[in-house]
Amino acid sequence: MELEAIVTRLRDLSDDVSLETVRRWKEQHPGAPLVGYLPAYAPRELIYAAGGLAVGLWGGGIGVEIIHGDAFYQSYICHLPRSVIELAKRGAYSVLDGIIFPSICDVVRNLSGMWQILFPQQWVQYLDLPQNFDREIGGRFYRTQLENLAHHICGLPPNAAYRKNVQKAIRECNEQRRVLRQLMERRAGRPHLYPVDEYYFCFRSALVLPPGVHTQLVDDYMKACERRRLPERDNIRVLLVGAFCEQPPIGLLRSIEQAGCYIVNHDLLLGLHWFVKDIPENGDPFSALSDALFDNTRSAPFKFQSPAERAEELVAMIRQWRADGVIFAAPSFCDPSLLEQPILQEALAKEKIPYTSFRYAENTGQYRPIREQAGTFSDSIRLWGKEALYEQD
Amino acid sequence: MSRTDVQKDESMILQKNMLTRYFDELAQVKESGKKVVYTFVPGNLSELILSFDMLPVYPEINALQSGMRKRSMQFIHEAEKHGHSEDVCTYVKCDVGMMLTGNIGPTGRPIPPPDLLLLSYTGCFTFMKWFENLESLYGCRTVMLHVPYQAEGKVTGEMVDYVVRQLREKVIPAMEEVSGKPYDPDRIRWMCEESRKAEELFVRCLESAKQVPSPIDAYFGGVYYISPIFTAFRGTEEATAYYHKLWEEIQFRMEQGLGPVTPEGTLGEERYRLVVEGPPNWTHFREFWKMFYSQNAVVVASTYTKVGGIYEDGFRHDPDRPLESFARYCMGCYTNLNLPQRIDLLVRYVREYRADGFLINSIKSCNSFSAGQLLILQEVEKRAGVPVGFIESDLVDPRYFSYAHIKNRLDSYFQMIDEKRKH
Repeated sequence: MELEAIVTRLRDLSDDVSLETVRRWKEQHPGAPLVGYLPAYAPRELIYAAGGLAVGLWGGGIGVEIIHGDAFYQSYICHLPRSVIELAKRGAYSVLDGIIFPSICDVVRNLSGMWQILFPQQWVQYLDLPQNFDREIGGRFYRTQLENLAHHICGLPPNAAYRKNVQKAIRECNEQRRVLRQLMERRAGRPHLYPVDEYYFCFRSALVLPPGVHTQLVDDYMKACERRRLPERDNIRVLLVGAFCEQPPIGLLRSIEQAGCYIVNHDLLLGLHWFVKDIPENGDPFSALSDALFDNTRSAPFKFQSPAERAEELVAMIRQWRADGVIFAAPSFCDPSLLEQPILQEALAKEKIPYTSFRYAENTGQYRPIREQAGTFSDSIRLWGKEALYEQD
Repeated sequence: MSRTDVQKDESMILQKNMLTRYFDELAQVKESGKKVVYTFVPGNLSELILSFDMLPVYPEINALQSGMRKRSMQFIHEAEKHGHSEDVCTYVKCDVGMMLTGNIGPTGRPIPPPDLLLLSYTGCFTFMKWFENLESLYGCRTVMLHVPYQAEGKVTGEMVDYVVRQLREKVIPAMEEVSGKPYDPDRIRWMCEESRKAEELFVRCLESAKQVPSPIDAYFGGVYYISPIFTAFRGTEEATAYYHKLWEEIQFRMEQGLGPVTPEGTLGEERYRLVVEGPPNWTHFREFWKMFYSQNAVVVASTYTKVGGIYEDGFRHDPDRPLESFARYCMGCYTNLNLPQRIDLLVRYVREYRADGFLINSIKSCNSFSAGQLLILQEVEKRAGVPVGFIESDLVDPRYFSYAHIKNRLDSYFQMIDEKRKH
């Protein structure tokens, strides 16, 4: 496939917040379970193992007018649950059999209960990600939840054949995560060849596709990009931190890049690239998923970790991805993301690593102030160097 | 309303003395060598902390007291200067700001730094981020107690096991290490027995509001009644004595047919009986309360008085199974309930307490309470068939308290109840 066609397909999939792709898939796979999941992470492998499709419900973005959703939330609650309810009320999610609500914050947690009342035809599972990382304590608790989730998905307790299928699904998802890691590395190496919107579509399209199909598509995209010629800009390199749940509009990401900042790593759509290593493909798959959650994931605002470790990890990432600075981009009213900023910012200041921060909502339509802010940030680093920002201290 | 001089009940004096001694003890830890554990009210493990002769500190209590003493704004400003967003929980900012300005507590005496942060994070994710900030600022150790959420409206054996194992293998060893003392099962058993006694009395006190007229206000007055059992005294003889005294006073009021005590004396005729959901505003607590009692409105049941534990369904700390009862206690706190459970509870309150209306005070800072409240409002209205009202304020940020706006809404709400009565 030609690059233009690939990008068009990726964009269409990314824009498909009404799940038309998923409906078509369902028609071709009658009886297969369709399970939605909210940010930021769900063990999709359990759904694929049942022959089903995992569908990421990451909000409606800029294109969804909120009519019903605002009736459920006060002005001081973030935007994502409004658009999720909006889409559900319009029937966009009626195709789903059940929905997983991962334990990332109080808003998503409470939404799980709202769902039980508003959409009783769908099963709901709250995924209480353990905060105790001892395999015999938190691991045991989490494995029970995984088995319950498998039961929900299949309608039966997991048997030996299903366990084998989970192993297969882990292999498939590992492959998908590997190709996404490869994409991140290639973009970090030559960001000008992978414009940020296309790059983002590569991740976002994973929310509605089976992993094998998605992996192939991203692989095709990368191959096509290697052949393209685009001018390299004199941009600085930044990490984007804080957007693990509600997503910024794509126009905002483009504005950051156009203002002079290449995003070389990020926590956008975190669940898709949260695992830094493969999940073991042999042995008990429930233990593999559980152990990997403890051992193979990077830090996240919803994962208990000492602030010193979290700060160290951020500084190490900056070095690893050769970033010049950090842009903290958090959704408005996002406690998990906003409350850790002072800790991380202090760590960056100690290391004399520049940063800037702003808030957004998924439906933010005005990019100019952010473009100016990102442009100033980029200029200050390019013109005077990173150290200069701290010389006044 | 009779406007006699405010007479302090004996229970109030008892509580005041308990708190004074507690803050004195905190101010003297350097001399006493006692270790200090910061923890949160929902799902607190007071018995366990006290059994190691350590002193618990509840940052949200400090924050609300700073709010009541009009000091929270300066602390919030300080935290915002330090990089905290205006969007986030104001309890956190108030606490961080207090620490950054010398950690002088609400009584004007210093609050000692923590030797241990016990993150028993029950029903609120922000607790986790809050203690990450405190760990970073104080440089002290945190021990996590992950309390599973009642997403399916029940506590399972796996959930209990998970919490008990964390208590046994993580929390208790951390406390032994910090305090230098071994876990004392006999003392814990004794303390759980004291807790059980206090809990029994506490339930009687709150349920007295089922009587018409209610002898208590279970929201504004309730915040005083919950203090010993929700904070540093559960498991002590002092707490049991306090609830004995409080229950005696309430019984007297019941026998005399008296209404609740307000800052301006005993409430006269009871005109409106309300169930209230959500925490109160602390920065304008008195003005807020007055908006109710000036209309002769009494809160007969509230969810805020359940954040530190729900006891009316029969849960009691169990001297024979202390760790299991800690686990069940933590998981049973109000904000650890799912939304359908919260709605069931509220509908039950409206019916059992013969309420005329249901009101939500939605708090800008608190997603744990606020997210989903508009659906709660709709459901309670549908199921309980009483007029519902909705007001908004904040915990300790005075910028979000609009007197005129709230008063206007409440007055309209009381009129709505009157209209409903006519039909």
